[in-house]
Amino acid sequence: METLEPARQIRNRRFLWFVGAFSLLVGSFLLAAGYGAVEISPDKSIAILLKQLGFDPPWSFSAKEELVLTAIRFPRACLAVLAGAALAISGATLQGLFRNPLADPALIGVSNGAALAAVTVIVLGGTAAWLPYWFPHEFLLPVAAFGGGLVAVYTVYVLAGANGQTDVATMLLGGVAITAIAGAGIGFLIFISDEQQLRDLNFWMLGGLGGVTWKSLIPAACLILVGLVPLLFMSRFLNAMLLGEAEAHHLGFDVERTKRMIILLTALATGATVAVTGVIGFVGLVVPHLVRLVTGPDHAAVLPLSVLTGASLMLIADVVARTIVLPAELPIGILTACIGGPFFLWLLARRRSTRGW
Amino acid sequence: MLEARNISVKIGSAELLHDVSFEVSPGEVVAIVGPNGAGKSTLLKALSGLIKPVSGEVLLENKAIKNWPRLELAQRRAVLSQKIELALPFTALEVVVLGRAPYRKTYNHQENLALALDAMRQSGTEQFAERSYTSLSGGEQQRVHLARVLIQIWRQQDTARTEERYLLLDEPTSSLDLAHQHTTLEVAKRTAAEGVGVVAVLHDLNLAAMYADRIYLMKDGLIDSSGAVEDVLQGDILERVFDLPLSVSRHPTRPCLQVVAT
Repeated sequence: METLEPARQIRNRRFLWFVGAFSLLVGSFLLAAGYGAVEISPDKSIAILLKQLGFDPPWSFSAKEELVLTAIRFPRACLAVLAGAALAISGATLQGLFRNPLADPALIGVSNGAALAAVTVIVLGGTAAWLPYWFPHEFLLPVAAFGGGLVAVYTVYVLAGANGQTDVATMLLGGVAITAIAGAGIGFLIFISDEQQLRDLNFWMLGGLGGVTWKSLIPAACLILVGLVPLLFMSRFLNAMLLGEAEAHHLGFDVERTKRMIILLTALATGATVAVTGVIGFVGLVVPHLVRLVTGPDHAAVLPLSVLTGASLMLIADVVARTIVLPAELPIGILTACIGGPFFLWLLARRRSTRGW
Repeated sequence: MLEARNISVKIGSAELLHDVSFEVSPGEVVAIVGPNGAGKSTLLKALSGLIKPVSGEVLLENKAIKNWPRLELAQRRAVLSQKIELALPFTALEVVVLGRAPYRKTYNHQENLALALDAMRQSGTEQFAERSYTSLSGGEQQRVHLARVLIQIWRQQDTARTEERYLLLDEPTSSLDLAHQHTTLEVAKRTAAEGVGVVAVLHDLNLAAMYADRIYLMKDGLIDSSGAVEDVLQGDILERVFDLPLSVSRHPTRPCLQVVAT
């Protein structure tokens, strides 16, 4: 069986990547928890975390440290983990679905569609007295954002995906059009909004993880996870889709149904994320590319590793965003665009020169 | 038996197939030949269940193909399409292993790799196993996909004869050099000998003459003539269908016919 040796090596290597990506995630979580105006060492973070989980903390820490961690840093770090994971896996699955490595929730307009819906709720929703009494109000924003994202991704998919072959130019231009429409809508809402709303909206447009509390995080987190977790099980279908829709059909997949399911799930994960963080671009584009450079295109590795890497990178980016211009805070969307924009240009240039990925 | 009963296929207002009937049984190689635009690939797509006829029906073992559970159907028939572009650079081995996707409920990675390497030896592509698919030539890619569709319908010895299986090949030799055209069709012939029904759309009448048991000759969305090779490959029939003076003679060394333009 010496011929099977390479395959065993691939499996072992893949295990190491998982260990590495997971360590990176733990490390960046502790960094995000510890770094800031009040410095908290990793051992104290672990002790406080253990106490929260109901264990006896092995080390002592001050009450102030505990308050900073549990009320501010932990929810913020959890949001970073969820947002990074959701955007990265949405990017990876959309790239597989469109059979195109340039797909990204923000580039094809999903994030902006979600943002328009969320801003509409912020400005016009007001007291939301028109909601039926059984509807939990905390869910209004993420659900609206999900709806906006769904309309956007479905429009682009129908536009660009005729005959089972996605036309890249149409996909990207469709994203431009939706971003423009959403931009006009958001602009109009800004025009009619009052001063307080204006400040909220500003945060929205640039993206940021600040000001999150457990109360605002938990409803969105539920929706994000409902979208994210099933996406992890789509690897076989997405691998078959790399051969094209006809081949996926011949291999026994229900192509139409699974495509619709993936569109729904990515809209849910992205929309619910946008509802809390605003628009953070390029994470879904950059992370799957980085992962594929190491693993190759097999979605069984790309999807879970994108989740771990996206979460880690978002944590690190957030640490940079809230410390680089102290005492102020840089909106994280500016940071990701600074890295992702040039990366996108580089991808385009490489595509022109090699016609391959 | 895999059969099409009086099927018509329309795309928009254009009728691509009109009242076509076709059948293939386990163990035989059936060639579909005809000029460009005759509807050969469309017939193959209808047989595979990819496109649905507006009238008539396609049946596998007397059961309408649309009523077969997807996974079971995928384990019974594999389809080699004409040109497949891969969106991202899988290795050739990874592409071949995708052929086992219909067995995902009983997935065994080691066994699938062994099957894949075996099939790659048959299609002469084992030396590309670790190469990126996108770096291969068109002909090499075509042979990688041949290996992929082979393992899609491979069985353990004991169940091989009890389940009917079919291999549908859409111009499997279109980008191949002469030697590989023959290796590919020899693989098809050997697969048929193992009890698989093979349907191949072919452009080269001489390849059809050499490897097919029966021939369907198509023109303008209709079956012009069909039957044993000797009955279909006749000078007057071919001249009428291809609009070209052709002459049929005995092959100098093999027990089959050959067709040349005159």
